[in-house]
Amino acid sequence: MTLRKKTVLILCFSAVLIVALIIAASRGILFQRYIDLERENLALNSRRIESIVLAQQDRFASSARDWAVWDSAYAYVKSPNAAFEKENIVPDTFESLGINYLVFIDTEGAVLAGEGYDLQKKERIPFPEPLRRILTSLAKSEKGPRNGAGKAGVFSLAEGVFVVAGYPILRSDGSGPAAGTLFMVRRLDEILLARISRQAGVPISLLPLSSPEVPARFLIESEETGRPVDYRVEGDQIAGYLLLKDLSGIPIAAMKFLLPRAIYDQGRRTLAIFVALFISFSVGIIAIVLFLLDRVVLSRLTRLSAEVQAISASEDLGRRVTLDGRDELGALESKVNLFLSALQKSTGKLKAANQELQDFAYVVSHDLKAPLRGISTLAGWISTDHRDSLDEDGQEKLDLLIVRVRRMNDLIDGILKYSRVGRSREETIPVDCNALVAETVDLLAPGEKFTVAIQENLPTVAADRTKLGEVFQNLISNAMKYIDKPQGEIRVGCEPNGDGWKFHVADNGPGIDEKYHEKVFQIFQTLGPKDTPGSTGVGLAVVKKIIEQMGGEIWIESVAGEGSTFFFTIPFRFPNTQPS
Amino acid sequence: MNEQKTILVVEDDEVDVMTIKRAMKEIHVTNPVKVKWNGEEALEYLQGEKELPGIILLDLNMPRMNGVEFLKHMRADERLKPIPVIVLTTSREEQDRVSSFNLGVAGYMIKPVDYLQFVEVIRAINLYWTLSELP
Repeated sequence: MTLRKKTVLILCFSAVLIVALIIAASRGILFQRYIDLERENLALNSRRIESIVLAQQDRFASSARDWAVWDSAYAYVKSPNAAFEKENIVPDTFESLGINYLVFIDTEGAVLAGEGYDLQKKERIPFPEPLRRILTSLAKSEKGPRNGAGKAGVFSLAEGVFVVAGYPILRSDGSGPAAGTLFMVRRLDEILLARISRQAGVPISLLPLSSPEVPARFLIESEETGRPVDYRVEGDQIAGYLLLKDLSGIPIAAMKFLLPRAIYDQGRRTLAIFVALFISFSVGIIAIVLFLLDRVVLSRLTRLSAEVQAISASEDLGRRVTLDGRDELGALESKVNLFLSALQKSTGKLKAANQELQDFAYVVSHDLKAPLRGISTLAGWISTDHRDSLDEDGQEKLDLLIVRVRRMNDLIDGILKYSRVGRSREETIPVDCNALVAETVDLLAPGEKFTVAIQENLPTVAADRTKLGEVFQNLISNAMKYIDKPQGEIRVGCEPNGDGWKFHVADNGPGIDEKYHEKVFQIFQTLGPKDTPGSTGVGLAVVKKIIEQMGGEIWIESVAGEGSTFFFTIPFRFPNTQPS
Repeated sequence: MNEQKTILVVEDDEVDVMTIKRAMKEIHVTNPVKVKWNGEEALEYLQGEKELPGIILLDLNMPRMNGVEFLKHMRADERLKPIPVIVLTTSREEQDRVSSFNLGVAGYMIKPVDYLQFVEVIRAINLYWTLSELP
């Protein structure tokens, strides 16, 4: 994996982790804050609705007071008369006060006048018995209106929930004693609910406690003081529930109001925007970091790597990598250059030493040849010019001398040839092996005694043509030279092998014992008798040197008596090794 | 060879000189042969001699002044410049061959080890010198 990919991965991983943490944290903190706000808002609304209900009760309470603290009413309760009833307890009274029942109860608890009116149908309705019972008990109750103070509240009957306001009946100047109690009762009907809804600005409905919608805790905690409020999410709205208790503190119904989830939605939107912003920031930061990293480190690393690669490919140790910046990478670059300098220096020394050695071998053998040629020439002349004055023994010794001189000359030629492999200039060109092998075989003229099978479609390789030709020439001529069978078979072929070509030259000769497989490639090592003409032990050494110079390898596979196969490899593109 | 002009052999190896002379004799070249043992001597001889040689057979590896140096001096001298020179050497060095031809030699021959082949080389030189028009 490249450094760039790793960096991207690490950055993305960290970003995802941070974003996840941020989302979790904002959900836990920010979003929870919005939920708290929503609940506060809910509580606020429930308090407002409660106070609106109370205000409604107060309205009735103040109407009740107006009527109760009144000489006429006082007189009426003291002595009930039809004239008062006929004059005051009329539909207009009910409608203007917005009440359903107007009830006068005397101190004894007797209902003097209990009149009902349906505000919608605009007609008299009977005064129900359960209402009479509640009101008379309320009149007598300690909690009821007493001692010059009114009382307002709600209670429930089978017909529904009612708002009631009572006031002790006093004289117009407020003096007592109270002649009785006046009650005004209004059913908490749709109209009243609608009015409350309108004032509160939220839709309100009334639920009996038996409704499954009513929060269960209202029933359990009903005895508790305080303001029982609960809520429940309904789609995209939130429903608040407000518990209504009657005058004696007994829960009678629940008021439900629906609020839009504006705060919650706002919270969600804020969170979404926040997260989106954060993610885009992260992406932006990753991009910036990557860009900077690329500029400051990665691209330079890539360039450095490419330059080092180019230098190793060109094998030109004189080249240097580009220096940029004074940071650690810059230091690395200058260290690479230092390393290259050191390498160049030691390679130079090595090359010089190697060259010196080769030159030495060359010069020495060249200089050795001059006197040798003299010896050879003089020996030849003695042999021809002074034949008569030599006896047979002398002549034989002279012949031996000439043979030895020739051998010496061959050996020196071998050294010259061997050292020339490293000295001569190389020219790497595409070489068509089909043509090259055919030419080589042609040159060697194998004759009737040999069948030479050359594989079709030999490759074209990058090599020095002369040297590769020398390789084939040596291997094929060796096969021909050492044949021990009446019919010689030579096969030449090639196949791709890894990152190069693998050639083989096979014969059906005597084969080479495995213990000589290394030795035959050493210079002057032959397996035949010393004075065999033309066998100096240089050919295979030269072949090995050429192959190794091309970056390949050479080896033998052989079965004694059945023949040997020489394998050698040539890299698809071997490094150009020009002597400096 | 050519009009019995002198053949100058610049060669430090006595046996090679003998070989050249013997080979010439064998192919019936009767021109006088002058031998100088190094470049310095040859140059001195040429500068002091009125009758210039018809051809110079030049060895490269010699003491005091080698063949290439001798060629440089010769080519700098207007009078000596036109004399055809054939290098007769044991050196197969490419550098020697290149600089020789750069200095305008007429031929570059490798001394064969075998005497019979040596005779062939001398025969070739003779043939060239006989057939070629000279200044």
